[in-house]
Amino acid sequence: MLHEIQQRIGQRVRRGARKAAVVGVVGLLAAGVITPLSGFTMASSSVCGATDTACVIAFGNARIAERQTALSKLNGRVTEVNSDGRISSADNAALVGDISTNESGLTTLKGQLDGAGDAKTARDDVKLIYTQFRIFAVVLPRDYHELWLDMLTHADARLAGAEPIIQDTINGAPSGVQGQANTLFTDYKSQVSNAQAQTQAANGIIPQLTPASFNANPGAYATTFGSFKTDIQSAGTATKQTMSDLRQIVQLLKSAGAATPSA
Amino acid sequence: MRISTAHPRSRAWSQRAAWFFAASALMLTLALGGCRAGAHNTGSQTPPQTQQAPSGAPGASSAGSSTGSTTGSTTGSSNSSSLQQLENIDSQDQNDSQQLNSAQNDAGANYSSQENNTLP
Repeated sequence: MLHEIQQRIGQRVRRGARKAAVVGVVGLLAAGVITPLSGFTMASSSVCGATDTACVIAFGNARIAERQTALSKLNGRVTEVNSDGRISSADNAALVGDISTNESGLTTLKGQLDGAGDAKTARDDVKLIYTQFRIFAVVLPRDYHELWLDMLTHADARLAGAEPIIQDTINGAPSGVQGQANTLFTDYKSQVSNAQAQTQAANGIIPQLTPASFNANPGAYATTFGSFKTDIQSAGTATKQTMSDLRQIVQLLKSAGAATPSA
Repeated sequence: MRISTAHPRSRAWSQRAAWFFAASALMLTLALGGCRAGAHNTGSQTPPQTQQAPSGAPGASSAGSSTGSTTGSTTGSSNSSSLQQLENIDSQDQNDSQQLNSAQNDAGANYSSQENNTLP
């Protein structure tokens, strides 16, 4: 009799273990699906108690501070590049304006959070750090790419402006090197044109890269941002090739003695 | 019977005049023929060849280098100046290239991984 009872208990334990295992596997599968989308879901942690308002506020302030620091770093980089004359004043104004808007918005949110009367209100404010600002998911990736794009645009304009000088120099060079120099120059002009087309395409995408569009359709946003990045990368490749062409032209003309007038 | 005859002296003079005329005509003919022959020979030559050296000839090579030297001497100063401008642009390119690489690295950082969306 006692033996039967022990067997029944053992069977129940084994069944329970199987159920737990099934639940665990399902949980792991769910986690595997959710993890890649962690940027698009809102996870809860047990950092603070359900009614611990001060804890929630402190948590939110720490997240805001991380974002303010990151924005400040971006601002410093933009200022540095602008001081070196590597972007236009209009592009600088656009970037600095966007950074400033986000910084002031986060400051306002911090004030709102600090004044939260209960944990629920505080949690709603913390949620806005992600849904309203999306500094790490949207703003920084977009703005750092935009800075790179602006630098490329500026460099390409400079390279395009050099075309008449290059042509004049080739025309005045010894006839023996003009053919090769003109071949390089043809590629130079083609690469500049290609780079400018790519930067123009990338600039046209920027208005679509907002936290609101991210929230509305994260998948579509990722696709659009991918096109934005590809355009800029293509422009970067073409710009580097343009610079390489010019370097080869200069070396060719120098080796041919184009700079040395005869007596 | 009286036979009318020319004066012997007059006949001698007319003979001399005829010989002189014939000799002059011959001389003139020879002279004209010689001139025509010379003109024909000149025509058979190709005067441009005396001025156009064939390709590869020293004259052509000299003319080529002379043309190059002339281009260099007339535009050398300005060409030197524009080449200097190209070198300056190339130098600017190298500087820009480094900054563009930095910008590319900044853009390539994984900022999204820090957006953990965690609520406390």
